[in-house]
Amino acid sequence: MKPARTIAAWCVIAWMGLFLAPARPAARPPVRLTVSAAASLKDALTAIDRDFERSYPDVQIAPNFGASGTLQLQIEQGAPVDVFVSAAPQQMDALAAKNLLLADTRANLLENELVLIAPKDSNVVAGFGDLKRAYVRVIAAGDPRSVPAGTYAQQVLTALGIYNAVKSKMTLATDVRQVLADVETGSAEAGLVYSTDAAISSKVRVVMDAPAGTHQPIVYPAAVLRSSTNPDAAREFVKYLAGPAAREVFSKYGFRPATK
Amino acid sequence: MHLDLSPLWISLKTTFAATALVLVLGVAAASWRTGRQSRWWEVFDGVLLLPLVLPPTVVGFFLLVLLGRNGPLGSLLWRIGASLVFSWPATVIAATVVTFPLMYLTACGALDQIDAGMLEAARTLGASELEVFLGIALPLAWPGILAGTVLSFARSLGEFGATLMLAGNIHGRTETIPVAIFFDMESGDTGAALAWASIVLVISLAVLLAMGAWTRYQRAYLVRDFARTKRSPRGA
Repeated sequence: MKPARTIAAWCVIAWMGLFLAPARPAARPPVRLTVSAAASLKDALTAIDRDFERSYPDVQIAPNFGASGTLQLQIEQGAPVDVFVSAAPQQMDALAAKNLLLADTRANLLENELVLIAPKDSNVVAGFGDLKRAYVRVIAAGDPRSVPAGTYAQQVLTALGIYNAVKSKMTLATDVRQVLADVETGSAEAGLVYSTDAAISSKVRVVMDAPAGTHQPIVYPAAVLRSSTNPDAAREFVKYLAGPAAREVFSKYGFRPATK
Repeated sequence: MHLDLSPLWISLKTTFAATALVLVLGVAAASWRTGRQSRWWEVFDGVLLLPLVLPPTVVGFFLLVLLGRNGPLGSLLWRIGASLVFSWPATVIAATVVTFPLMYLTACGALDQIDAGMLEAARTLGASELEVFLGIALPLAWPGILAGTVLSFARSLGEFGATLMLAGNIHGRTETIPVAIFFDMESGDTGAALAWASIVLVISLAVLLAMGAWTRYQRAYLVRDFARTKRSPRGA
């Protein structure tokens, strides 16, 4: 007779049922590490986590993937994170400046090179100097404000003294894959990407590497956070990430393990 | 292709919990608000409706600042050993805050439409405020409230920005379907993204169809009910 009341009752019952449902299976390992990592590492880190859990059965890794800047913000606001793996040193430096990292746990995991690329079938661009020429109408790069590869690209062009001359013909993409697509399709005569990205495309060719010293070193740093509730396990994990087993997996996924 | 279904369960749990929460909170706030006319209440409305006009990422940022370990609310929770950021309840909070304005707006509209004379008549016949609300106001406003519920459900299921900020993207704990779709696309796994997108499509369509069928049934029920009372005026 009272539809509203019946509905309300069912809603309440259904809602309470959600809390009765078992959230996870019992028998949980004692230590759980939350690892905030750059989204570009998703595939490689997922594989490495699995290997690590096999070697350390009493540790469970809960990876949290996102943009490095967002992850930094969450950590600054007190998110319960044990280990941070960033796609660029800036975010890690910011946390270090706020004294949020555990001393002596920072390690550079991966490194990369910035390269100038052009469509495979085009030979109008032979070096950075050609970017100024009129026949190069569009240059693709990441947006320096949000894409680390774009920040490095800006540094290189500035160091070579051509940034102001080419600024007006640069198209700024939201990620490196977009830059790659612009060059592949010929929408841009040239682009600036990581060498690992250039390697996955058969439709672009690498014109040249960015000259040494024109940009900050491109590295992916990792560190344990001061707020970690399991600092020992977290240290162990960072050590593992920099170790030979993890390096092998990173290489398999197209990354270049740091030489140091 | 192997698809781990945990985002589906998390999404469903979150969406149902948030919709139920928003239904109760939204209707309660709206019924409390109706009949209060003043400039100040419009400011109050404005504050409640903010999550609708702000980008979800900004809502998420505010929630993170408020509920993070260093925030005013988060530090209180932290003192009793609880941390909301990166936990499952965070997905519910994010979805609830973002969908609340939808429920509140439609419920306010639906409750405002009711003839105040009817409520007054019930009161003169000795009904308590609760009886008036549950027996008269709520059934009369129900179509509007139902519409608000459907909107809230749909919006909750698709919630992404605020969820990612506050709850993060932890597989098996806070990774909802929209978050899974975004990161599958980012990492070039178009197959998985497409599979998730079809799942969302099927759920949304099923909910909309079920709501439509139910409303039709409800209308028929009310007409039957009305006809019956007419035949026996004393309700014997």
